[in-house]
Amino acid sequence: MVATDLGMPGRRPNLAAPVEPFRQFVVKIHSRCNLSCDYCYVYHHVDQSWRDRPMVMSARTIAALAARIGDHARDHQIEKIFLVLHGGEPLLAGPSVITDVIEAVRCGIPADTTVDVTLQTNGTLVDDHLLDVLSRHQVGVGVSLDGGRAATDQHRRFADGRPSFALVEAGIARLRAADGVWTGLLCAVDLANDPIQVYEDLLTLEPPSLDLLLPLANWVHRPPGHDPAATPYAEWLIKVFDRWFDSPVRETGIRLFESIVMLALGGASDTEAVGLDSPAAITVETDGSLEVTDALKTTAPGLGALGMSVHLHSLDEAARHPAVRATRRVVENLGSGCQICPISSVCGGGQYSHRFGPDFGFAHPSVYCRDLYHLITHIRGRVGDAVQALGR
Amino acid sequence: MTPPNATPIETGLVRVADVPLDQLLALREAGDTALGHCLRRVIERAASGKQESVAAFNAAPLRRS
Repeated sequence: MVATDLGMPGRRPNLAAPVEPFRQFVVKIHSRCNLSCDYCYVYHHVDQSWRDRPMVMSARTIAALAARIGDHARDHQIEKIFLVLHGGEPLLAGPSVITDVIEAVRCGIPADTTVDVTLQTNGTLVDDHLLDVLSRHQVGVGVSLDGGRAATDQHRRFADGRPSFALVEAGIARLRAADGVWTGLLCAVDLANDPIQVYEDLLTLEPPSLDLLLPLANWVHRPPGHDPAATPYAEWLIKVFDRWFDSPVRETGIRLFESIVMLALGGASDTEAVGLDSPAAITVETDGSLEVTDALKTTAPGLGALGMSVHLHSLDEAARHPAVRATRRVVENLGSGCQICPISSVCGGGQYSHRFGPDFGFAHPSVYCRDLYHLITHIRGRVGDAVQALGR
Repeated sequence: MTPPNATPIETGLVRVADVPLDQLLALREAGDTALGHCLRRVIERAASGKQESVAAFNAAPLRRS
């Protein structure tokens, strides 16, 4: 693990504070992918740890994982946990492994704990057999893509260069036909694409909800088109926001926008991208290794690794790790400038990995700071005007 | 919008607690707009007192309850 100040030069996370239990378990059931998207944070970024992982989570690791989650839920009397099946491409693990993980976790938790299972896929491998398994186990399925055919095929291709959109579109059609399985889309923002075109292309797929993700980047590995004096990502997102917000009927949910609106209204966020609500998440690799968050794979090699494993360590031990405590979304963990910023309660410092700087710390504003400020103040203004207009 | 005796909101944010009931009802009658949807979710969460953990960046955008 790379030595780091964990974002708090001169100050360490409060190790005496009570442990915040995990509620969300991002489980890598398969470490490889059938696509080779050129921006992928797992395969095409600074951390290449995937090369040393087993391809599929073994029965032994699944059993250890389920036991750890069960103990954790029992010890902390957790009412509800979120099991996120992830990869690589999790559908490569096949129906039996998917079933084994879900059944093991469900068997391991206390009777009064519920588990919400979701799976994030590239959508190219959804067939009727897998769909039957996902439906039977009440798995909510999210699909990743970048917009319509042209936008998606620009980056999301097979290793031999073949485009993926046609397969994804067919996979989404199957998911849509299976009532209640499809949960929505994750779409990474690409400034090269027209924002309204991207949104409208996504709408044609009739997603129940979607999210627009800022590219995983930081002050060392800057986002495409980054200019500290400009706000290109805010401009892109605002075009979509205005189109979405001004629709007389809500066409779909957009997680980032709805989170900012709800935070502006005094509510809570749905995403760790904004706000000070904690995801309380831990990532489990195919070999059982524990990582803080996958996004740290875009900072420095091994920075997200805790040096712990479900085979050797309890989840309480992981929750006490300084690196986990440093990621807690509390004002004290933000940089000094962010702590006095008037929109910090809405922004929350942005996503943790976006704050990584050349000093190997995270006590920096987000690399998207100006974009977030512009986007949030725009949305706040639009919400304020809309609410006031209702009273006229 | 804000009653005269209300404490000013330092952040300048519009908060549900400051929105009169008739305006909230008007939102409901206006149909499921993006704003109306968000307002209802804020109110429902406040009423239930429950807060679900927020999604990790790489998790699906909508969860079924």
